[in-house]
Amino acid sequence: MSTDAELTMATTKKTFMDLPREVFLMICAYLTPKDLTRLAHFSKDCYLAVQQPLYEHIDITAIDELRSLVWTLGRWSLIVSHLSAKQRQHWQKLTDAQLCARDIKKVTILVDAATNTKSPLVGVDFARYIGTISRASNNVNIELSLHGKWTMLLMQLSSSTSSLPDVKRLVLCLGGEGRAPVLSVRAPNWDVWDTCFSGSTFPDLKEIEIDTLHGSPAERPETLKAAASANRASHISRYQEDGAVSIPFYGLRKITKLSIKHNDLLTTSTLGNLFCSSIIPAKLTHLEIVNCPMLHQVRDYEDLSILLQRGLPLLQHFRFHLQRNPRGAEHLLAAYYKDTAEHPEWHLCNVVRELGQKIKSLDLALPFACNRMFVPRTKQAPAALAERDWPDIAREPYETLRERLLSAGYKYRRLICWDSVCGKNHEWQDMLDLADNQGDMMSWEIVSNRDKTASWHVSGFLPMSYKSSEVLKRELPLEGR
Amino acid sequence: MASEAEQTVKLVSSDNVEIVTERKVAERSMLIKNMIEDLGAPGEEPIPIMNVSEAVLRKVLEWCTHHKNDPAPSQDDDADSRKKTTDIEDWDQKFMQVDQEMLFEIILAANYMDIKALLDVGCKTVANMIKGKSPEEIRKTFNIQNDFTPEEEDQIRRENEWAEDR
Repeated sequence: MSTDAELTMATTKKTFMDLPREVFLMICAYLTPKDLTRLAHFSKDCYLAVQQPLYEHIDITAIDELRSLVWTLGRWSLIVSHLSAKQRQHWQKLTDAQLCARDIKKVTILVDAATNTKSPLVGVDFARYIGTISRASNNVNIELSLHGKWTMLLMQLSSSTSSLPDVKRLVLCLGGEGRAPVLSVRAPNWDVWDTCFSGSTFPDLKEIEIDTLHGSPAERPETLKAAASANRASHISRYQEDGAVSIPFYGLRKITKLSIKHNDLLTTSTLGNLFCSSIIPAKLTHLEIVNCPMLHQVRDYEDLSILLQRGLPLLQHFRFHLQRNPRGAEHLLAAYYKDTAEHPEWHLCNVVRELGQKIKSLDLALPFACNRMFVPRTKQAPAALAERDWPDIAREPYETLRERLLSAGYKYRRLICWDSVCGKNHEWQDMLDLADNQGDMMSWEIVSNRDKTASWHVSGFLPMSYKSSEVLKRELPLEGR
Repeated sequence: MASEAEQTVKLVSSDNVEIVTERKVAERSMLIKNMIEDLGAPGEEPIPIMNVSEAVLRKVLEWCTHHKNDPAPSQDDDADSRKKTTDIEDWDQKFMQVDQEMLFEIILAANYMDIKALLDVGCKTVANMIKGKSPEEIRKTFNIQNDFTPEEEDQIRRENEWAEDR
């Protein structure tokens, strides 16, 4: 295993500094940054030895820590520049230059506006901090999470000429208690989408998550039902589609994962800019549009249909959860019947059936859905029930079911229907029958909130039935909210 | 011919002592496992463990005997270079209650003999000796002199401020 091992074994009295370098690094992997800084005080050799593990993966949770880090990275040289002759005997193959190099691979910055009130952060300074980290190491991966009221910072970043290089993942949770009024978020000549997707402020962005209703992922509703009910779909747009000219979303070309959750700034005009412009998000494989209350299945019928038409052929994973209809909006079903009759080509169920056969993972939650979502039963007789059995993949733990199905080669489908079956004369039972026969290596879970029933259908196996609450009221893991 | 479970192997320590052990026990070491596969006739040829003394080899084989039926290690641990836990199961904790000299010899032997699980236990044990201690306490634990000047210590403190209170 070790190349230094034989040399080290030749000595007699041992301390941990006598261990081979790779073993020393294994020990460091079990230590916190604070423990590593204490090791740096231990001896000069140890100071040099901990530079690599201390700086390899940096976690920053406060602006003051970021300022201190930038001060350190801006220094010209380390306090110790070479190993002692004794230590050199143990680590012969390692050069002093290798030990001195602070090769930063990943920096995770998570700052909460609520806990960083003492030291206000200005856009130009923040850009400088990120620039210093970027220059300190080649191709560093910076993950930036801004929780709370950081609107002003984002506006400053957007209006300056500075960019934040090497930020490859961005998480914005701009809501929470004392959230900035939405109208100020949509200040004239600025909006959050331009900042995120223009490609100027975040030129290297690959993954992004934007939530405008919560100050952190932990504040999000804990169940699917609570999330869909918290901010019900607004039938009347709260904002006028202002027709403001957006900067083309050139940054979208590099994005691989896009997650827009609990976001009341996502309107159909933004969707149009994201998916219906000449900028093709060619690398996008994961898309989540979840619990965005400004999207409405009836009002935005055509726009949502276009989103599915663009997204389904492009993506590998698509999570599309619309909010429940407002209470007392039974008339919407009649309106939807009318729309689907007049424009069946826009009917979301038809689009999913026609374009959603190749996608690996499709997770839908819609107010209305019907059996048009499924491929019609072929004339070929289904396998005799006597030969079938329960799925050989356990349903629990449910949180990992999707990943387990995908890794076993299945395609994953989940449909949650909040309010009603949208096809005239269509019944939930028709959907159960069809979900059972959607081709090989296909898993469909269908959940009816109205009928309080759910079932899981895996091709070739008997379906499993259970109460819808098992899915809708189950506590979601933090990363699934 | 003995079944694989009943087979024994002869190991020879660096101080030239021959130790006979079950093949299954010895094969916790990837070094020995590969050597047996290369030699093709386990039990006949003594296998030299060049860099491990008899005392340390017996100690390592004690650990291998206790863990001979453990499942093969998964690769998951390697996904994140920063490990989350230094928890050690009770038997291993007692096993590692040895003087520092022996502890480091076991770690070196585990590294040389390619016994990843034992190496992990050893590294966790050393990490636990460092965790939460001040530099002075660490120096005392490992009996090493401070070679920094007070000015240098101040500079290091300033340099590492970003990682304090974590």
